[in-house]
Amino acid sequence: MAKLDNLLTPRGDTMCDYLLKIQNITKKFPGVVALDDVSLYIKKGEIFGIVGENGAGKSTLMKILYGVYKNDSGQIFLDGKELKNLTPLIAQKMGMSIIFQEFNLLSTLSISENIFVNRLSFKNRIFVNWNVLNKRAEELLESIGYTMDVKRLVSSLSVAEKQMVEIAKALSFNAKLILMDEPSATLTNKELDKLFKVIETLKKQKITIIYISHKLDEIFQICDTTAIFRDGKVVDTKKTSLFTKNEIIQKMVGRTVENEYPARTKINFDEEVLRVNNLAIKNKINDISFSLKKGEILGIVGLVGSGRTELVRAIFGADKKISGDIFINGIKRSIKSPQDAINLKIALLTEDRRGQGLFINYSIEKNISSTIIKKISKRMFINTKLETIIAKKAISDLKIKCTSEKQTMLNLSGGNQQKVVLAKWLVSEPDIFIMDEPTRGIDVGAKYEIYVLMNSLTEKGKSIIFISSEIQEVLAISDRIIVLYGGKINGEFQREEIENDKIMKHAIGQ
Amino acid sequence: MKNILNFIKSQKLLVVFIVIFLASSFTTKYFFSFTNIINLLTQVSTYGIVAIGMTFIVITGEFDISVGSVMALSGVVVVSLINSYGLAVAMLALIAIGFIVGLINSLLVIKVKINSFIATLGGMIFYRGIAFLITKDGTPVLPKVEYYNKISTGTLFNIPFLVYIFFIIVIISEFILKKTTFGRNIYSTGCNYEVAKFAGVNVVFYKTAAFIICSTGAALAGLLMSSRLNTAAPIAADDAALSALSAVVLGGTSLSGGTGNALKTLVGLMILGLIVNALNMVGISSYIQLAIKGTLLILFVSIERYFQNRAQAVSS
Repeated sequence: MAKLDNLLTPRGDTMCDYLLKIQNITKKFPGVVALDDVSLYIKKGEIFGIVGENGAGKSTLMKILYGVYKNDSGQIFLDGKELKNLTPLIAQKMGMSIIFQEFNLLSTLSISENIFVNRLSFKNRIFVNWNVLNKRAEELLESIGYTMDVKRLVSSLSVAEKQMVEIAKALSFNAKLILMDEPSATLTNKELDKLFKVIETLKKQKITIIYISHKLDEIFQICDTTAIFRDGKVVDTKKTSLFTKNEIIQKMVGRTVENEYPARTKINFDEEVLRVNNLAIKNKINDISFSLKKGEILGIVGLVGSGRTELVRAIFGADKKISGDIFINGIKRSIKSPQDAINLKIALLTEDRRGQGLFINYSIEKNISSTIIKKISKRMFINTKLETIIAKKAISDLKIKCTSEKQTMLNLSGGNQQKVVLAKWLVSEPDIFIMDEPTRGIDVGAKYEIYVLMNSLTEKGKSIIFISSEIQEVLAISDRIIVLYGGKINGEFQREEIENDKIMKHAIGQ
Repeated sequence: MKNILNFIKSQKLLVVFIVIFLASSFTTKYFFSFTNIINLLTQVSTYGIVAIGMTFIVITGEFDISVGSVMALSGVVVVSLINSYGLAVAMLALIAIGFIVGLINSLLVIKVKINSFIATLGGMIFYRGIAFLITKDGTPVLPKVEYYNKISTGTLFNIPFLVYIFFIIVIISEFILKKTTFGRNIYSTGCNYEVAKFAGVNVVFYKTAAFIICSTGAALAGLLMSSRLNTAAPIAADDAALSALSAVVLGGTSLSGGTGNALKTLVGLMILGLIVNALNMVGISSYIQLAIKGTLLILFVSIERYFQNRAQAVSS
């Protein structure tokens, strides 16, 4: 429990300066205490960081603040007024806006309609003045450094662009308090810099920001105060400058972490397992050739829109190729569907976990068996006993936190959901893993486990293509990196010559 | 006691069924007679087969409203062929109708990407038209062979063959859905098309298969209905699609796909059948029956939805 005295002493403020006071909030779900007597005091105009592993209770707190969940006990005060019976609408009216991890956008509507959804007509007019609406939407986006055609449909936007629309939407409420749940998870460094500039501007206008992130560098860069969550409790809160990075990590995971990344042993890679020759996809990818060696981790770096996701989708047979050949173990193969790819022992962990990775209404067990359903069947019948055994083994191997293998995915945290995705591909025993953003939106501890897993896979002679927006992690664990820009390869680097800024230069087309 | 409560909570519809059943037994003395129960089962069996086929397609997240027209078409085609060429040719035609209609539906939905409501609406109008064309002026076709009537109405232990056929189909369907890879892949396709595709499920195949199962079920129901009535009218079964969908939805299979099963549909069917039967017994006119059926359908689904929302609010 965060004691009030501890909170006050280092900061030396009186209670009345606080915009948001959260006192003794407890929230229980069946079988788990999501928040255990949490208290936080947030000053007007400060950027308040919250860090913690997945399942630590950060998102639950955000949802309570926004009226999505009801707290079992405790009180919330905004500007001295107690907030009771919150609903998202009331929260918005009180001056709170939230940007969730999973976007809340209406994909068949335009950008400006999404920003002003529910408030399409100004000044109580019945009719929508599209010119004014679009202009205001444009201004909002420009204020965060984005020029976009606001009449475009949200369904046509990339993940990063969608996030910008979410941010503009939050700004459009003239909010006193903006809650950002992992806003940087999908942004490139350039986009992140822009976001930070916006946050600084907001701060000057005395707007308070709660900033949740897994990335400690960001916390140190912009947060005035930081609270650390672990297992539903606040374990520490103080000025960010008084923390050290290691201290935060230790308090987050409750143990000492030696390194952020496991060491990778240098091996000589000889045997070629995958060769892509002159691959092209309409309007996306131009003449890409590369190879992957046995036991190698090949990092692919590129900004959103560089074609990295399209490239791996095409290799996996999910999208149509215009031209290009794929060789597996030296033999030319035609991969026309994901089934073909799976039969050739290729696995693709997709970027979009909910949309393409998991049956969210299925149990853990059914998700894990989904790639091997034919293998665990005798003639036509599923061997459900074997299915359970395999799931149980995967759960214990990957340390998936759950009540049982029959639990549905809905109640799992992001990190555990990702482990289930990993498990379902691991059980299919592929030789080539393509991992598109495998660590996106998951915490330090789970990330480390995934890096370790990647290492042990390559030691067993598996090969990995690794895509990530977090350039640091690509640099840290790849043996070789290719940089994509505008659908073409714009540079290739061996482990020895890997340097952060050099790669970034190639990624932005220089 | 707690176990009983839990059972009631998890099997609300079954409880509703039992309550209606008992209530009906007390209101009229004829209800709880062997003849009436068999009568009830016979009544639900033809549309029941359609509803079971519909369950497959609804699980994949689509639906098929052309089933009524397919029943009528299959009825007139089968009876016409049986009169001139015999049973074997008629059965081949039946299978061909089910197969071709299912294939066309799936082609329109999967390849041309038309919403399944519109795609099968077109089929519904088209096949009805063909049925009328075949019969000339819409005159019902009468079977000239004696055994035809016996296919549905022949009895074993005083229970008509039709009822046996229906229950065999229910059991086989439930078994396929629950136990086989085929069944699991049907669920996966409906649960999340993209995820299933990326996991290597041949989603196109399973959706097509579900459409074919649905229309073949309808074609078979067309034969059984014309056999039971000993006549095949092109105008027959115009309410089949909506009755079957009502039963599927009432049973708790969600139209968004990925859930449901054949037993649930059976319970839905029995509740609807029971209501009609009970209302007939007390002598309520069929117009009021329609109003009552519609109201109860909405009421049951609303209650089910209410509990689902509550469960979801708790779990997430």
